[in-house]
Amino acid sequence: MTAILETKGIGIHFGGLRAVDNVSFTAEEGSITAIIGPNGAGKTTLFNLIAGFYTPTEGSVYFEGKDITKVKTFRRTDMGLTRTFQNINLFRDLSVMDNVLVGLHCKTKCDPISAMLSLPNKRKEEKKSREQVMETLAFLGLDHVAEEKAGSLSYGMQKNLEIARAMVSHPKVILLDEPASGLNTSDLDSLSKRVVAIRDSGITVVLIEHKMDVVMTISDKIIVLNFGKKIADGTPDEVSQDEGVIEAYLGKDDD
Amino acid sequence: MSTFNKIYKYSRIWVLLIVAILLPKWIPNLYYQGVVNTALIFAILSLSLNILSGCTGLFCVGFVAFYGIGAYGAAILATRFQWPILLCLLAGGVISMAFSLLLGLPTMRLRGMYFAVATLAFGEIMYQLFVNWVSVTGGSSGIKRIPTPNWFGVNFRKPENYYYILLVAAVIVIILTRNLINSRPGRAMLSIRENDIAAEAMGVDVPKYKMLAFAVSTFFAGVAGGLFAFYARYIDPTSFVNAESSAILAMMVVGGIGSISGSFIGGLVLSILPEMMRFLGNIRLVLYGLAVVVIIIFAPKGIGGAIEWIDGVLCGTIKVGQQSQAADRQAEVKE
Repeated sequence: MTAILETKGIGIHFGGLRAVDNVSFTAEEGSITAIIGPNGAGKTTLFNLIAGFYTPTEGSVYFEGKDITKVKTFRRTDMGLTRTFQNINLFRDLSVMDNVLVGLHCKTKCDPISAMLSLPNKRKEEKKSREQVMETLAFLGLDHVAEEKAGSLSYGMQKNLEIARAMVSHPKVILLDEPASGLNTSDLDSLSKRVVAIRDSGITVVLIEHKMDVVMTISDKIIVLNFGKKIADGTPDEVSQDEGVIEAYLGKDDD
Repeated sequence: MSTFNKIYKYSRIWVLLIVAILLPKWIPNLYYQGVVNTALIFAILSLSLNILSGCTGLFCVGFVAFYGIGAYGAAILATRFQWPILLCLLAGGVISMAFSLLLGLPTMRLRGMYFAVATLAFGEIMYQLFVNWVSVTGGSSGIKRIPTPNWFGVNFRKPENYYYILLVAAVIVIILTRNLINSRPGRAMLSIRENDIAAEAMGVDVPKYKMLAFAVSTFFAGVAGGLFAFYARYIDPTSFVNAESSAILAMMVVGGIGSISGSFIGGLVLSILPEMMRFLGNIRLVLYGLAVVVIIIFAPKGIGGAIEWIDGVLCGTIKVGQQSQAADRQAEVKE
């Protein structure tokens, strides 16, 4: 398996705080890589560096072998790197359909002139886009609320909508920031199945997650962060037996 | 959906259109026809501003400048260069759009208030330009003898005839705006208003689409300016003082930010209302201000929100009481 996403010694500091410090990891194509760590370990910051929301103060990010450290966020999306947000960032006043249609922005071409004149190429593309959105909505169990406003959905549905919006364009890599937070047990189960299905459809998944049972069952590889530094890296089995990881999570045994 | 809903849904647009076409016959005198014509021009302006503010959430406080640029551009091309009027109208729009690029490219990265302040300054600069660049704009004495269109043998000098030019223009602007909003570029603009961080994560080039919204909205404003010039046949800087910008802003807000029908109707209502209240004397201006404040407080979605709700009920897509269901769900989310 080849690495589709890679960071080399990436880091960022805000003043004196090293939020992410010299982290190197790879995500192999067609796999699920989980990033775990205690609160404040720098997981979301690492995501923001990969997605381009922050510029790293050191190190670089590689996507399909290309250095994308200086590439703007929206261009990374064009290249096939999309994300969801931990604190849901939906377009609340737009319909579910429109939310996901914006997710197709990078895969569609319609220009403003043909949009305003409603030329045939626009109508054709629009129809195709809507079909594609309905497929994705069906996959996430949201097809029956397509015309509802995103802000009026329940929390679990909003979480799913975030995933729908990020995966509708069939990206190469999807970054999921705590997709399971706030979900109940039955939703958790279907989430795990969906994440595996996303991987099986050929999309590489990188996720941040706190729910250990989810992480341990679906991940191919786990990266553990603590205080901004990578402390372990390996398969679920390897990581769960790593002493550093146990210490970070459970504290040090003083005896 | 009942039969009534269906009939309503398919006939509403045609009924509106027929009423609009027959309207001049019911207007008692030229004065009121003039009021209606001006109201149509301002409705187009309010709708244009809504493309910028309603879609991307950027507020332009000097919007009248673009209206003025369009008016002067069209008037100058028609009087000095004898361009055909239709071409002048489009050129007025294009010139206005060119100025928006001039202002927008350096200021598009500014957020919220800062962009608004930049447009406020721009409005003032353009006003000074209209007054002081005498060789081009005629200064305070303005531009006289602007020709009126004479198409298909109809004399459009009569306000009741010019009304139809304005009506056609309004319908075209409404259709183009509607098409734009329901498309990829339109949705990209809306997504910026809703959440620019998520928009960027979805691959939307935020400054580019802000600029696009600005360009489209100033193009329409420029065309509206040209329509005014050929209607009034005489323009001078007093029509383009910056206070008019606040009037356009008020129309859009009262009409409903983000609503096509709302901002258009807001433009109509706020142009006609002060005229209707003329019998009240000077106190009408106070009442006008009060009316604006009351609408903003009690109907934050403006007239447009109310219209869309009534429309939804009549179409059968909204059931009375559904609003509360959505609110319940919202409450669940918060828990």
